[in-house]
Amino acid sequence: MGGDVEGKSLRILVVEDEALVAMLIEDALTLYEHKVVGVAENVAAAMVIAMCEPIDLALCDIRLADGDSGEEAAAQLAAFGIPSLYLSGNCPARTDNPLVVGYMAKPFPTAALGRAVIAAHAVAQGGQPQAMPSGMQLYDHDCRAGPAIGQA
Amino acid sequence: MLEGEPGGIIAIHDDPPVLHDGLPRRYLTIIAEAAERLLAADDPAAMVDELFALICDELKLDVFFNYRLDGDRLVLEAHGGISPHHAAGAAVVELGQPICGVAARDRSKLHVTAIQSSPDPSLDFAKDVGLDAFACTPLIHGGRLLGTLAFARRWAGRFEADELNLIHIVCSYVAIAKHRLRTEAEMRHALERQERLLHELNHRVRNALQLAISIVGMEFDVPDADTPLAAKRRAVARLEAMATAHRPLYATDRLGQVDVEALVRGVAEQTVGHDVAVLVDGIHSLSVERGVALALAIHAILLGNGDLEMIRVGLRLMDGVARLAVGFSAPSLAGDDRNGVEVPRSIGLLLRQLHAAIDRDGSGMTIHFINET
Repeated sequence: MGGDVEGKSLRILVVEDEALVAMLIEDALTLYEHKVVGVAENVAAAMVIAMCEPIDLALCDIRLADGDSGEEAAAQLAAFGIPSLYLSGNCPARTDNPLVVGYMAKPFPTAALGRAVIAAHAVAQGGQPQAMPSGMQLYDHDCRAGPAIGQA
Repeated sequence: MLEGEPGGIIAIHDDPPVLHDGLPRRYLTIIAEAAERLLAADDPAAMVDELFALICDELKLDVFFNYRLDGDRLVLEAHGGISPHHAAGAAVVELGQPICGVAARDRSKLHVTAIQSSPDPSLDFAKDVGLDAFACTPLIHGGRLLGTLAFARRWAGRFEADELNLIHIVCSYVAIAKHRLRTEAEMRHALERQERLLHELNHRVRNALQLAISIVGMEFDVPDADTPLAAKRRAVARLEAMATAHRPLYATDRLGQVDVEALVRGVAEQTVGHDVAVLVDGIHSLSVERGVALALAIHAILLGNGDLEMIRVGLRLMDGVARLAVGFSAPSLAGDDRNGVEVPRSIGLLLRQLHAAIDRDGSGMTIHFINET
């Protein structure tokens, strides 16, 4: 088993409407000893899970089922204090949502997911990631100290 | 049309209008200025407003109406010198309806004189606006009717020949400018559409690659005893099923929709290795994302079931709700599980994505779901 680089096991919500992609994400995160508390295909399903489970980080696709948007999901999750990392083929170049930490563009390297969630969680907690996988980008929010970090 | 009479509607045949030596020098200045402004214009309505401001003093104009051709009618795009009430009354003119509708239908320049003393009921609206002279020019470019531009006076019952000549020259420039603006707008629209398609293509390619990774990754769930060659074959077959879902992508009128019959037939024949009879009731389509999920689910269900005899696709009413049902007639799939069938994790996830259920009866198995697309 992989085990994550910083020894943290995070509780992750996967907001993804493609069943097999969600399965891949879930398997990869489980391999790195994170716990996927639920998979939601739209905003409503994400909020149901968010109200029932403590969540450290949400991984949000942008285009969801029923015409829903991952940006809307991230906005509603932010109201619960839940940070997000976009995981999509069409990630927005910027966001006004300070709890959206950054993004990884599809197709993403599965092996990098474990480090990506640790890095995203560290940034959401106000820290700096020790290691950030290739392909992950952080948003440059004004409220965050320091410049945006590109590819590590 | 009362051609040549002192009052009423007069058609003028001076195509194309010419800049002759007898035109007053100040007209030539106005024409040059109008051409310059029209060349730089970027808004069709504001352009005519500006033109009216430029020529109204010289020609002592009180009113203008600029119509845009919209299907088989004219829509008022810009106007000046009339009340909101009259503008509302003139908002839409059918082709053939006096005065601008006649000019547009006949593609003919009209000069209407002595309106106030005319008994012609077709001029009642112009009379009500207080107009006495009216010059309407169809805006035509390259044989294509774009609309009309009309100028009118309240204070006099006619326009002089030089004045009409100036109006017609300026209107021919307006037609060119409107054609240019329309062409630019069409090009902008085409570029925007191309950009959207490129964005969509980018999304689809990225998504398809991600899905392909997931499909190959499904082999991690297969027991260790399996051979690497068998694993590769399964992965390739799943990728082919996914590709089959993309193949009939443009078979329906709606972009991004997959034709269900072509999808089901393609995946079934590819999976069982022989021709399959597909009976379809109606035409059904799915979004490409759901199409891929259905293709992979069908592939997983039919794998190793070479006794497939027939597939039926159609709507099934269940609890008052129409569900799209894809039924597989195959003895090896038959059973008695009308309340759902136990399926492997990957199929279960695909069914969840489709919001689908599976049941079995004596003849085979059926996937059914509400098709929201």
